Amino acid sequence: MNMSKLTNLKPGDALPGRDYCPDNVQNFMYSAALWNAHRIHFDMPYATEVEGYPGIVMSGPMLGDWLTQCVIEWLDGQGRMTHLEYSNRKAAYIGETVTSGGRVLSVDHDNGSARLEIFIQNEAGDVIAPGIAVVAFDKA
Amino acid sequence: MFHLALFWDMVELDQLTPDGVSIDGLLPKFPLEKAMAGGLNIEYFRPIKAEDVLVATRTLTNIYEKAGSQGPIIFYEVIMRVETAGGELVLTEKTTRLLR
Repeated sequence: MNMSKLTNLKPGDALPGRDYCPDNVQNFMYSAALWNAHRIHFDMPYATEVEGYPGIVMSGPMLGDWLTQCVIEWLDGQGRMTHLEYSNRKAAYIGETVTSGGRVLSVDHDNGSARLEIFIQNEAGDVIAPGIAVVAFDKA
Repeated sequence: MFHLALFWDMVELDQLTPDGVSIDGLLPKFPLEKAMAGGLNIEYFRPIKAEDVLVATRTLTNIYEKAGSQGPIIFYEVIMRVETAGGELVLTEKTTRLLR
């Protein structure tokens, strides 16, 4: 039996998150895939002395991809994401562990869609990348 | 978000600025130059399929300034509209970036 996730979905339901502790290699690979050579993502003296950051800066859209991963893994193949928005509110640095997560804001059972609040949080508990996603469930 | 870099300019190394950034050709010269990601707002209209030919149109849609805790910040927004070669809308994406 293949019961849709949508059937019993209600506002407040949590989306499981993940912890991420990217190292220089992952951050480098992500930036390279985006053709992004901004030195704050791999050059420690440049990041700290020239741009004044406390460390190597995690790539902003990498947090967006982790938000996407949170939604896609939760969907578990039962639909697709139709909308994603997020803001990079605060930088995160290599060495930190950040955590994804989310919750259901509203459910439209007639249209088979749901609106989700998603976030990336740092160890201090600050939400550094808040976002909203909308998902459309496949018709049963 | 794999579409993100699909339509970015691939420039020669000597066209990167000393901080490693490829300056978006849409932008005027700004008085602030430390670039940061600001966020994205994406609508996905249809899945991308193998053999789709995608055409992106990018438009600089907004430039504004805010006072940050450590000085002024320039924000700019670029809207990218991606269609198939046949004109079917695939996605729209608004990128916000900032300069300090």
